[in-house]
Amino acid sequence: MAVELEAGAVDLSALSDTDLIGRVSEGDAGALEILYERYNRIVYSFALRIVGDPQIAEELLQEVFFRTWQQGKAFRENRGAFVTWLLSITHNMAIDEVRKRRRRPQKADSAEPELVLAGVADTSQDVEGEVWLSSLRATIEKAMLQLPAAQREAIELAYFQGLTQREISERLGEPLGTIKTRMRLGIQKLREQLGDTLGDLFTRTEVEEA
Amino acid sequence: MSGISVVRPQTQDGFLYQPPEWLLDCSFVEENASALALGALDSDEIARINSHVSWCPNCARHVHEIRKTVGYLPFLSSAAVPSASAKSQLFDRIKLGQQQAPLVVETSGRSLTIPSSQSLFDLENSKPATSVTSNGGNRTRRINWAVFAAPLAAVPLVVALAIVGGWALRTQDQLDDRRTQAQVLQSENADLSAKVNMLSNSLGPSSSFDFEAADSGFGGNAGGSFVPLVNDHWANLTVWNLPTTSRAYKVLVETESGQLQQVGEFNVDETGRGQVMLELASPVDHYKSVHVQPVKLAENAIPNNSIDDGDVLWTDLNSSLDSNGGGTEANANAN
Repeated sequence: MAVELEAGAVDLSALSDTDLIGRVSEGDAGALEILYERYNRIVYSFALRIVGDPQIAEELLQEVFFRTWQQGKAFRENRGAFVTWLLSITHNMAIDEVRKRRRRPQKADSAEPELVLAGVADTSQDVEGEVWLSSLRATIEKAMLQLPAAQREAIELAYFQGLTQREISERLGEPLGTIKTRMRLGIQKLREQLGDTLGDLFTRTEVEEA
Repeated sequence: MSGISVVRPQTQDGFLYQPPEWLLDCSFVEENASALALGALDSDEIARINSHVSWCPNCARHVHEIRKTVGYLPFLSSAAVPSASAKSQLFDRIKLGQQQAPLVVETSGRSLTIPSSQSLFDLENSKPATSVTSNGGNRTRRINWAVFAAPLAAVPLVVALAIVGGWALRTQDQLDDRRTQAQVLQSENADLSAKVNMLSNSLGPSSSFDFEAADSGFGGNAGGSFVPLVNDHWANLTVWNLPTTSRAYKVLVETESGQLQQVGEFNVDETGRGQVMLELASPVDHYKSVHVQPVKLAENAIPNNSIDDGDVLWTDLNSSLDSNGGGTEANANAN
């Protein structure tokens, strides 16, 4: 919901993601800046997790938001939340990068949950956003940890390292059918656990309003 | 996968329309939906699933649910903060793009910025200079070779820059081509995603409307099925036994004001069978009826006060939507 200021200007920070991306598609760089402030960390973190190189992750971060700037009109609200769209672009670009370079991500990332926020030099004032993100992360992490290790491994190799199920089968020396089953059962269990807990992925604004 | 029953078109004489094998490929989708959402399928497998879900609402919804679950995974990434320069570089790039297209060549994810060459040469200093010295009464003109040295030394640099520049421009052209191709693919993907998402939103049992041959004399034993899909803005039309005297047919919907609007066109095969996915400007319940007409008849013979003239098939939409809230079949005779 837009908040009209006295001078007739709009308080962009009060707008929903959908309103902001609408403005971005009309060439409003200020709206893009708000979206950047909201999501630069999750986009960067996600890219870093996949490519394992901070410099490349930053380049991807810039490219993702530059594409958002150029192709904001491609976003359709009825297809899902803006953040889902943004992270989908991030995933595609990061996996493309990984497949091009076939470089493995660094391992400092996923081993210890307590490090999740420890290494963050967070200068942001967006405390609510950080709480939301850390809570979401903890919930999903807990669900992942409840999966059998083999299922979790198959999911992570595919999603974060960009391997196809055939490549995973070759790498692990397991039959293709086994890999398919692991992925299917793993995602099915995640769905059962997260579906009730999280429901639909929602936008930050909706969370803050709730 | 439950909830929506797929309407399997059946002719009046009991002939069961048998779609191609890939349309019935639910088990393949069930088996591979997770790999699809995780990005672990090959392109041919992705195409196979996309083809199927564009037709099968059950599987479309299943894929959507799986994608939704996979959509949580990015949040597993440990929090990290990019440098402040990332933001400033991004917005500098945007500003530059607003002023003029930046001369930037992307190479494997890296950016190579070609600096302006203007500063490389100081125009004033590059002028061939001479110095005049006085030697008694003879004025000797001595060339200051040092003045030429800088521009001469710059020649290889200029050549090198020209070569690099040419290479960069060619690379830029190639990248532009690839970017264009990628955008086309992205657009196609977006369309497919839209279909999947919209199809998957069609919760609850699907409504279907069976056609009957109109009394226009064209229909014979033709039949058909009109299945509203997601948000009632999409519908799948399947017809069979249409007269093959015309291979091209139009689909028209009747608005509340009685006007006909064409919403699609399709061809039938040699048995008179055809199928088309229709996008409607308004929800299905905003229309009164659906009409299938041969193209030539539809173009020439649709009087405003007799919309059924030229119909091969038609079905009444209003009579059933309210009665059962879906899953109903409405049959009506023309005229």
